[in-house]
Amino acid sequence: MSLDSNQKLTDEQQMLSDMVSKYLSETYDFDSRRKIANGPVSVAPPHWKQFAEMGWLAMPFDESDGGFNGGPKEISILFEAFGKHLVLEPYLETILLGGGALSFGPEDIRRQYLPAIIAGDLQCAFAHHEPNHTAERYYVGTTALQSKDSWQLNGVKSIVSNAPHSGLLVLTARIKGRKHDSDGIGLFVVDKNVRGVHCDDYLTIDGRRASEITLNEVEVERGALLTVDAGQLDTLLDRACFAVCAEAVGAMSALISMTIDYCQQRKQFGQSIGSFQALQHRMVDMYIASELSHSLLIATTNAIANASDDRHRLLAALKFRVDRSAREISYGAIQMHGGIAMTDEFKVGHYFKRLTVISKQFGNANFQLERYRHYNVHNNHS
Amino acid sequence: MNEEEIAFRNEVRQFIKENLTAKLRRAGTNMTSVFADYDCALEWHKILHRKGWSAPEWPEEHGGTGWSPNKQYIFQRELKLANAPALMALGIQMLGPILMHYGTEQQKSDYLPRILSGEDIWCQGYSEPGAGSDLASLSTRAERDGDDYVVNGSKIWTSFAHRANKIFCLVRTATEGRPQAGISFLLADMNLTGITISEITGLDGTVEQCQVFFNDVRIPSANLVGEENEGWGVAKYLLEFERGGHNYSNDHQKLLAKVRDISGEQFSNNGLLYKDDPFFVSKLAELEIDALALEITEQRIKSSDNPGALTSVAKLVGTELGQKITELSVDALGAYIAPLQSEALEIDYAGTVIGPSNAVTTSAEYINMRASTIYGGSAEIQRNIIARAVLGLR
Ligand SMILES: Cc1cc2nc3c(=O)[nH]c(=O)nc-3n(C[C@H](O)[C@H](O)[C@H](O)COP(=O)(O)OP(=O)(O)OC[C@H]3O[C@@H](n4cnc5c(N)ncnc54)[C@H](O)[C@@H]3O)c2cc1C
Repeated sequence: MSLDSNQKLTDEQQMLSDMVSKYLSETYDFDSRRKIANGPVSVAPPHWKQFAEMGWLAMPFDESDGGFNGGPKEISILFEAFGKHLVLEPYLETILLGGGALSFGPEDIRRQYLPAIIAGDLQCAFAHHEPNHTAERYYVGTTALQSKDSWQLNGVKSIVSNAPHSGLLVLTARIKGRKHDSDGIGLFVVDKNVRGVHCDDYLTIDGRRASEITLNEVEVERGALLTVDAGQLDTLLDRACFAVCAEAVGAMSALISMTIDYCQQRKQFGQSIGSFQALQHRMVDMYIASELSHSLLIATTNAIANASDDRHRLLAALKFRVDRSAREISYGAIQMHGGIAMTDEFKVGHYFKRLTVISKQFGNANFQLERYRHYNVHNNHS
Repeated sequence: MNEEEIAFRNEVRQFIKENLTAKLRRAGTNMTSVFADYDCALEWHKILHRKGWSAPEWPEEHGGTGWSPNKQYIFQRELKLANAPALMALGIQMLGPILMHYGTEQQKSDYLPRILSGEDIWCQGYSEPGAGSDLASLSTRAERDGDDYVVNGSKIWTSFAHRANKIFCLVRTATEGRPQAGISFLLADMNLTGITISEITGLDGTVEQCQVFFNDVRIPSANLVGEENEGWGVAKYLLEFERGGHNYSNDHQKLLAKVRDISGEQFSNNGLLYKDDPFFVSKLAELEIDALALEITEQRIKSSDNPGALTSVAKLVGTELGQKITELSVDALGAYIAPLQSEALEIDYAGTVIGPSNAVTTSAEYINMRASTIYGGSAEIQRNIIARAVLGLR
């Protein structure tokens, strides 16, 4: 597995990286972010249109859909920066999940929605998880019943991120099979304002907005079914999983630099607390944890870019490691900042909350372990 | 438990049954830090006081119960498991013992009965922006002027300063010699001219801590506890109570019960309820073993005349284990960590709750629990104490 040759950014990637860091450093200040994060629910994060104007929203789409054909490297550049700056804008929900699912649809559907999404005029939410079963990848109890030229959807979806600001829902509903089966799940696109969709909106601890959604005899036309291919659902979820891992890597490196800075400035007992060996060792361990995640991120990025057989195993390893590292680094950062870390006014705790949410998304630690073992066996035999 | 203790436990249970109203129980259930809803805590305080049980560990002459350590333990556990709201503890657990030891007769008769009855609620003004772990470096000044001290400076992280009517604080009365040598212990009314408060919003979105500013505040010298410049000794005596006075194992039982509740509602990635998931169940058992070991350690502390070192061990294990148990709760809670449901924690909330029944408290509790290894002597400071004072490493 050689990394060096693949680690280098192309000129375009370098430009993207510079632009994103510059824009976010200059405009994405923590206090404005905190005001948005604290609500009300109806207020949306304000940078979305600028993201569109800078072309970021077009990044992962095919050229034929008006996009730039961006791959995993571009995604990781964006998401590491989002993680560093605790970006609230719904790139994950609208572009990767919503837009990604729509890309599986027929051409008329793509024509209908993707331009508005890429222009920043239409937002999406991905409604997949159901009450009490959010740790399961394929659990779908919501049903889709086909009649002559329509589908009828019934069910409940839980913690649907960005739904309050979305015009479109992309949701999973079962066409056939039992609730846990990986096969028989349809991806549907639904206008949020159609009859029978009921949303209860709320804020989340990481400053986003989400909804509990009930679907009661929701009628959608036949073309609303984007795909029933389980492989495509996996691709979508894996891509989201990968993106939040990159985001976490960005957030962790921000936490580590903040902690180092703070420990150098903060004086107790007549010296900087960074001079205490107990804290130095803990910071070293945090740094190591972050570098290990970073290594796996690089390897996973390359494996996905090259469509390598090993990409699933690496992604599972990455997400598992990110969960571990995120805990270690957030706990350490809070502990070493002392009382100030427990306040809403100070950044550290917000990174902790975001990382906690990421840990539980797109497969928790146990899920990743099982997946890792599955693909490990698979790879050893081939 | 012997027969007498069983009878005692039944008496406590009966009392709880008759007096702990649904509302008060709810205040206990909804706790996400060491503090309960303030008004409910006061209400429960008064009910306990009427029974003579508001400060069971105090000596009988001051209104305590004279119960054996075992009975006190049983009492605390029954209250905790019944979800009684915690009382505002600083008066009973910290200032009371201090006044009994260092206070003048006048101070004892002025303050102790009012602590017992819940008329006075005290907050603790020790930490300052520049003096946290290194408390002795505190710089809030108190200068003698006639019969008063004139106090200037500020205290930070003062829990419930926005609700309490009294504050006990450490102030600097001399700058010569070792920093510890010039500190005095003062009592003050929160409504004195020159005291202002700014509330601090915590990570969970609620206010529990404050910054307290003193601007030429005149505090009568009769409010000095102990001798001038000897407040450090007074405070250290108090800190031992802060660390040793608390039974973490009771908290752990409640936290573990919560893990079990959630694990009966939430499904693991493999489609099993967490409580049937072997991986999860064995993680839970690991934590139960630690909790058991700590419980026995706390019993050793109680039955020892000189618990010394073990109180630091208990604080350290107690807080770090509490963090691990809530972490496991959150593993089972999964994505339901995310919804912010502060309003559902209010006592009169009647709406629905998102996620399993304990989601609301668990999410905030997990976040707040990070503070437990920071306040009351951080985990690092506890380890320093154990290394030096117990293991003799220097
Ligand atoms: C929820 C909460 C409630 C509180 N309530 C009160 C209250 O009611 N009244 C009150 O007076 N205070 C209160 N405090 C303050 C608390 O006591 C302080 O936060 C604590 O003493 C730590 O001080 P600090 O926050 O300034 O951190 P610092 O002292 O700056 O410590 C920062 C980090 O450095 C580490 N460190 C410091 N010195 C050493 C060393 N020698 N060796 C190794 N590591 C070291 C610490 O362990 C910590 O990890 C509260 C705090 C919190 C979080």
